[in-house]
Amino acid sequence: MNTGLRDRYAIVGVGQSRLGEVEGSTALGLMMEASLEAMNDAGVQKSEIDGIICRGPDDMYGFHQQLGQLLGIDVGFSTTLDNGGASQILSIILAVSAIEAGLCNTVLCGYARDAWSRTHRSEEARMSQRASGAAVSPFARDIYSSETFGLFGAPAMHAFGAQRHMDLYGTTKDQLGAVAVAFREHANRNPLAQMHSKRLTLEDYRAGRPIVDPFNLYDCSLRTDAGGAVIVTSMERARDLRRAPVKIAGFGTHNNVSGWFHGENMVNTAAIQSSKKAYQMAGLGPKDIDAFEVYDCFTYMALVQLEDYGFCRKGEGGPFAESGALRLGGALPANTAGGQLSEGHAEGMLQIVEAVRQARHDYGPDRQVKDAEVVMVSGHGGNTVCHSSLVLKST
Amino acid sequence: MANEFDEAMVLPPLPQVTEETRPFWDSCKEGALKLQRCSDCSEFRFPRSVACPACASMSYSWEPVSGNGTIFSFVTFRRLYHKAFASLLPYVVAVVELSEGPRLLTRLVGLKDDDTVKCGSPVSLRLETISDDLVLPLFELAGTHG
Ligand SMILES: [Zn+2]
Repeated sequence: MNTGLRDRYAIVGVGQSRLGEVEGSTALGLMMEASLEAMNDAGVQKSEIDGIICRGPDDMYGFHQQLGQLLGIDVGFSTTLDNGGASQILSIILAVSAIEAGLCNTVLCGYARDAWSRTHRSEEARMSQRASGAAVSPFARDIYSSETFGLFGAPAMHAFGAQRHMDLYGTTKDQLGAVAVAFREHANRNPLAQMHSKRLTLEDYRAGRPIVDPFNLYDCSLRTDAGGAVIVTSMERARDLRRAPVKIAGFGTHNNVSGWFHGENMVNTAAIQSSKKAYQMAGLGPKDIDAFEVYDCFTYMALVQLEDYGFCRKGEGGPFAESGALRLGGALPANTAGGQLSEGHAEGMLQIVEAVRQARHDYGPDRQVKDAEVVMVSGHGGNTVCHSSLVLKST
Repeated sequence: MANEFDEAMVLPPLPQVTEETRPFWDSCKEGALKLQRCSDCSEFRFPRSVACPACASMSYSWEPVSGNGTIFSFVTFRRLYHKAFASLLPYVVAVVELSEGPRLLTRLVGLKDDDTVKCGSPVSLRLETISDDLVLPLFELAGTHG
């Protein structure tokens, strides 16, 4: 771990696109919206951007090239990442590494998706389309022939982990519900959140439409059109820019690419090693974290990371969530903009944007984590086994 | 031969049988599940690979397994994703750890209303004929058959 990188780089601007069901939007268009807002926030001209590291929908080749073309710039370093929800923090890790290597100076990192617009229909409609057989390949596509055995969709894969955690540690449905309810309360305070106007009580959660036990509708993240972007540069250069920089105190990544079914990867996630590296680089520990912007593709994934980041002991994520710790004003305010369960699902990019805003104290008292100085961000994905961690610090 | 997909009159998505996976599917049709076994360190493995994940040896043979194991984890589908499964809802998909070590993805069959499925529950193989070309390695709670 190179602790010499601690506090030497910064995020100097953030942006996000319109968010939610943005009729007719495209991933590239949303990426542009977010990128321009981030550059404007930082006070950086597009001619000063000399690195692009981003990610879009899986089926778009060379997303970074398409973004560069729309911006009309050439850059010293650019690539599209392929580590699922771990990619967005990885883009910042790679930006710091590329600047450190002298390949570029000011990097645009971002992610966008048009998950709602490209299907342009509700989850309900999509499922009934699948149920009629219309949108399903006649062949099971993965190495386990999952679909031949009736396994469909991301919820089920993550639900295996939730079920094992429940059987090993006594985690309950209501404890998963505590995660969903806490994040929804935060979304209710965020006027841009997809679920801003929809309340969710524990009773509502319990009555959620069944999907695949132990998950119901409210355990699953949203179908969202959204883009997010940040600008990364050195602290040296950051001092001349418009906004107070937010220091990159540390980062880490780890990838259990042996697979979700291997070992105890379902309940001991790659977040264990990833967070350890990030804490080490930052010279900080779990007790120093003022807010946690956690990757919540499903309630269980947020819950298990509470343990894997050391905020509580292994197996105690359920009681910890149930204690109210994750709420604004709680011991560890988490997903303070609503998270992917309630703000909108942009594969962790909006969590990074929110962490920066919290560290800059951008908000009024209804949304600001009081005296927040150190914010932990997590990213998780790529068939549920890849993880990255980012520690941000106020200046 | 009648099977559980007859009522739906549609088959689930079929496995892509390749030269690498054909011995697995053929063994099911022949009535005794076989997995790759390393000729050097004797470890069984799944999913199929040209090399042993334990010792990287590329020599192997296809050997029968006991068909006994335990549930590593499981999920219960309550929403329909594919019409082949309409009459099976709710159905349980499980990761089963064979006594030989490898973990298979499978579906549980023969469950009764009062059966309790838990991580660790013992299970045994039940080969189910789906079509002339396909026999699936499904599992049932141990001791429930017949
Ligand atoms: Zn071997």
